Amino acid sequence: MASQHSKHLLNFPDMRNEKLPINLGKPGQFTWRDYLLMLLDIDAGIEHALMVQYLYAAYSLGGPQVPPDKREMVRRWQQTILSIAKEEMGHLITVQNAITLMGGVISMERNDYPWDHEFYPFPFELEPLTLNSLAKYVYAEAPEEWNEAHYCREICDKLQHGPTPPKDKVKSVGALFKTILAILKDPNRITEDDFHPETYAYQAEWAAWSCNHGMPSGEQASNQLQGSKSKTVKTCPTTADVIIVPVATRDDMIEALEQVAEQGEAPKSATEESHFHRFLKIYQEYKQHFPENSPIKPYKALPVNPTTFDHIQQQSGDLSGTSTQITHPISIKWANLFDLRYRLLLTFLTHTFRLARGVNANNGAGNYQAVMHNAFKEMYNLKSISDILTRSPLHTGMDNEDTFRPAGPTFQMPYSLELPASELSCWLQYRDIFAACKEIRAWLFDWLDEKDQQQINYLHAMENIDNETLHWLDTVIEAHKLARSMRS
Amino acid sequence: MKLNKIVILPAMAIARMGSSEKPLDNYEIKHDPKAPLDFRKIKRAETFIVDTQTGEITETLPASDEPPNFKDNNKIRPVAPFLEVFAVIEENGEEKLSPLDTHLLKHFSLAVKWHVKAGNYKVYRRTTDENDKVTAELTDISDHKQYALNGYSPHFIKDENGLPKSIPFGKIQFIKPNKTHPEIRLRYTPGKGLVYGSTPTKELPNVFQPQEMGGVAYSGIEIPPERIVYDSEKGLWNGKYTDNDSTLNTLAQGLYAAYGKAPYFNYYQEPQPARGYLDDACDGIITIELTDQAGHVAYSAKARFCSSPPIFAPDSEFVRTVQDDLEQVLLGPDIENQQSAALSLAQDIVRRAYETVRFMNLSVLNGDPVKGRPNHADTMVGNDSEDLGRAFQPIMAPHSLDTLSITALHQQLYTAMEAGIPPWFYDLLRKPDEVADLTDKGRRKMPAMMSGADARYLALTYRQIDLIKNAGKDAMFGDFPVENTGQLTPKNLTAHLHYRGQSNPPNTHINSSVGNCCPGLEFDFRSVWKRAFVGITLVEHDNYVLQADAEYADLQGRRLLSFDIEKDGEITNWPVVVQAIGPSADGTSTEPLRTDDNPDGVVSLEWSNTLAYIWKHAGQKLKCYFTKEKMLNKQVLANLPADQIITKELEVRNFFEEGSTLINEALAEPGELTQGLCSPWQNDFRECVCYYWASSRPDYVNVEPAPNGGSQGDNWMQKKRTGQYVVDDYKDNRLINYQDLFMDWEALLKFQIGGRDAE
Repeated sequence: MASQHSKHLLNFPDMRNEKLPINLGKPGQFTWRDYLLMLLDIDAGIEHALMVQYLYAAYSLGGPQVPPDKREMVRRWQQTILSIAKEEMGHLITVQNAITLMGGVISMERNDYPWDHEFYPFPFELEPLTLNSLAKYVYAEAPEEWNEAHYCREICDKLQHGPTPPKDKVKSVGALFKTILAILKDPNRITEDDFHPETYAYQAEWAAWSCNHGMPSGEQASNQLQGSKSKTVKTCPTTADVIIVPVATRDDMIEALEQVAEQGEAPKSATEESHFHRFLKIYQEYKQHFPENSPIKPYKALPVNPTTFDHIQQQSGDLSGTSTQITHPISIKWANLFDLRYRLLLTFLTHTFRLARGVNANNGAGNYQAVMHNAFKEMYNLKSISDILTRSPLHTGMDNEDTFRPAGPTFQMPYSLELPASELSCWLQYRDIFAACKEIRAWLFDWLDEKDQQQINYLHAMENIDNETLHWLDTVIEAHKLARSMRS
Repeated sequence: MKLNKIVILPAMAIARMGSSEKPLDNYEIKHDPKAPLDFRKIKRAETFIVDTQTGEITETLPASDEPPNFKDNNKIRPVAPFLEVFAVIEENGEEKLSPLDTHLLKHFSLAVKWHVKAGNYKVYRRTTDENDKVTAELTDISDHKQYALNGYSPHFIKDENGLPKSIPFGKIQFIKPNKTHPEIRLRYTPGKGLVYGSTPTKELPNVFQPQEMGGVAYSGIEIPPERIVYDSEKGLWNGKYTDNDSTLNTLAQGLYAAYGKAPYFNYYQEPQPARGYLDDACDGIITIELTDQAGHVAYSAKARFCSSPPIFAPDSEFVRTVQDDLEQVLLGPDIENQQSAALSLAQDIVRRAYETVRFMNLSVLNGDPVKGRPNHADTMVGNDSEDLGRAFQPIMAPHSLDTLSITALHQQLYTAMEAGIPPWFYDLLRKPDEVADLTDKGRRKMPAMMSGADARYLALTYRQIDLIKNAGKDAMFGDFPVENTGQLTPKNLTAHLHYRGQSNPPNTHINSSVGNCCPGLEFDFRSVWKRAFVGITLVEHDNYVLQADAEYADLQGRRLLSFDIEKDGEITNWPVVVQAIGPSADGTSTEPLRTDDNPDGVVSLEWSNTLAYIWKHAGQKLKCYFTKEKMLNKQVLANLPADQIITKELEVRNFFEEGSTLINEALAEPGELTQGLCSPWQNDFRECVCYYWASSRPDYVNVEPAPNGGSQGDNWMQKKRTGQYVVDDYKDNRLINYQDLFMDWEALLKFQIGGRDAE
């Protein structure tokens, strides 16, 4: 299915031509600012889709069948892919900062999987980490000039003869960034009036968002200064190098987007490995230790594009035939809970851009920080429920060891991510989502049994923490109601 | 049946002071499986009631769903631990650990004798005058009377009857075995937590500036005549002693009641002369001897004890406790079998982390301005600037955190672990050699905003860190190992370490004691490492060689720089100091943090982690590197040129007494494990804001969500509860001040149950 942007991209430049066309594919009815915002919106969707795709691949790794001597390696693969996913999240957030600076609308939207996108050579799909899916990631993250003869040929051949060969005429993400930067760098297209530096305080900053999940891009830890142990610390491939850059000027924005563009293919720092290199390294190890014909796999056989809807009910996704419906009633509920928490995460994320950081020293730490930390909490919930889903049966009758086939995290998009216009309504919306979670939990409490003690414990803890969050929400809602009544 | 040896358990018991006649009941801290993140519930557990006249356990108070009363009107109920004696019995070639009781004594025809030694070396630690040691000794106790454990000092005055005055350290009673309770046990009841004073000085010290505090002047404290014990003419403690050497003094300097400015200024500006105050805290060693019919000692065993302030948040535990430090010595800094480390062990650390965090006002400790006012509270942010000249700057992004949201974030980690997710935040933990990394990234590592034993950022023990790295790591492959400490047996020393004792409440156990912190609360636990190498004594917080035996006399006055140790099959040079680093003045690069006094920005690392890898080499010699130059007031990094270093092979001491979890007597004599603490201890509750041990001495209480989305609550030290936190300020009379604490601490300090004032 073509994306909502497709009709506006008919003239998007073909990057195989050396020279970019003068109008950079801008349709006549767009202003340059508007066109730039649309392209940023497209990129945000791609970053989001990549992040989720990689998360799913990482969560698929493991299972009791992995031989003990290979577990350390498989665990390292998982950490590496999770670090790449975190970096994609950094990209997503930095792009939101850029959109905010330009006065655009925060964009956390994407389509459900599978999603065939004109800027990606394959449909975005949720699938386990197989040699084939790895080959796709390597191919998609490869720099244009990639020609490491052996692996390039092998991977291209493999994909060409596989079920989803790369599209012939794809508008690459690299091309998208080239176009974005070309527009941005031209003061005749984007004028100084198009930037809104006063939004800086509303943007995400590294110190608050990723201070403990990596280091600012390019910064090297300098522990070698300490004492006699010369300890050269460099960005470890399993540690995310999360780029989250608030931007106040054209130059800030150019630099931030260049960093984002480079991280996938060719990072600036010599000690950091690109996404492409990290995936390629995993591919090489994977091929050696779990060759195509090996009966032992390093992953759990998660379904491709799991969904709680049947095909007719699917709202989006252009290859609905390749999705897999979860039919086990308990797993459906877990997937519903997963999707609700995913909605919470995306809503909290979107909301942070509306709330100024605590710039008013008289008010102290307030809603901004609370909403931001709630976003982190939901990331941890997604991690937990993903794990539960990968241990839960896909269909009824798959409960026992012999027939077991796992479900997987669904990552289905909510009907809307648009925040209500009034601040009070935003808070009320959270309360609705928490209430829906409570209902699902109640159902699960009724149906889970003793063997599911770990899941029951988790639900109790979740309920416990949700109740605290609701207590906080009630206080904030009351404050807003009071403020509104005083205004009126 | 053969009696091979006897053991006292717990090998280290903590008593907690209070003036009520009724010792605190035993209790359990239970977590509700349906609300696992709530404050844990305190429920009274079976409690022995002792008739102090007869020495017998006359009654057992049953368990109850209600918590015990921690106060008896305005008097705090003391925590009085029992020390139990166990016998290692061999039968049919197998050893087992059984409570030593009257039947066994009769069977082996043995009689019991107890000896007790205790000390309060706080004044001695400062003045280094042997006559300032306050010591107590009881010998040959074989009856069941309650004996006063009184501390004497050559510098104490005599009473009106011409008898030497003393400080009551508490009472000792050999519990009389009876039919219901035939076991052999001893009970220690601590002192009341009173402040003792000195005789007036003929000439008041010439202080730089009188103390400026609102309300009643600090100098207005009146110690009742019966508690005036120290002779100001004989010793220096009243007005004639001032800390003046950062190497030799305690860390921090000036941890004593002082004349002149508030003691806070002792360690940041001009040290002030001591006011001559002492307290009734102590630590000591209890010995039991079993004598045969000829009166010869056939068996003996020892245990340590201390008396310390109460834990005021008894439903919470600190993120790093003395048990963590001792486990590291006992079991090593690395997890033996990484695949079998149970997730619940790491989960326990996370629980303790949020039990600590929720009592800290994180926004204030972050260094954020508060309600528009600059924040000059005593925080790590302030310490970084004061000690190492780092730019004053909040640790995390300003206003980016609040106690409620960060507590919830920690709780979410715990929640994820409930689902079987192994910890994924190893990279976020501060490694023990990164404590002086004051870059933004370094300061933001976990645990954040708290001080360790080196007065720099707290790190967990290597073993805790390794546990978080490995616990439950194979969950992705379907393996979920379970925790198993095992039974109490003669050889299972981990079980010995975990043993609490019958009727002993949890706050008697070492896992209730804040770990290797600066200076500590129950112990100055830094003091236990200073004799790790046979032949030399190091300063507890510094690499300076304070004393040396004749064989190593030449080492005195030098600094230990590093030692060689085998790790991962290789010989590694292990430095004991690091260089502090932080942002340059313009914030564009990282550089060493230098001050005039410390041009290389040298930081001595805390001993517990620094020495963690040596203990498996006990009895062996390690190659140690010292400065060639003797240097007291100069510090250098470990990577000196070879011609400025001398080497010496030194033997590693056994940390524990053979086959037990008793800390080797050679490491610390009675009085040494508490010597670096404040004198009096009440000072510490005023000196240090919460960032040493919030879960014992809370900072932020009665916390609720605030309408602005953050939190609101009270400073625990606030006299009037308003829900509006008063930022720590030595001149703000809304807070309990030194005088209040010295005179009325039991009434003023409020226990916290469920995060709320309990009374």
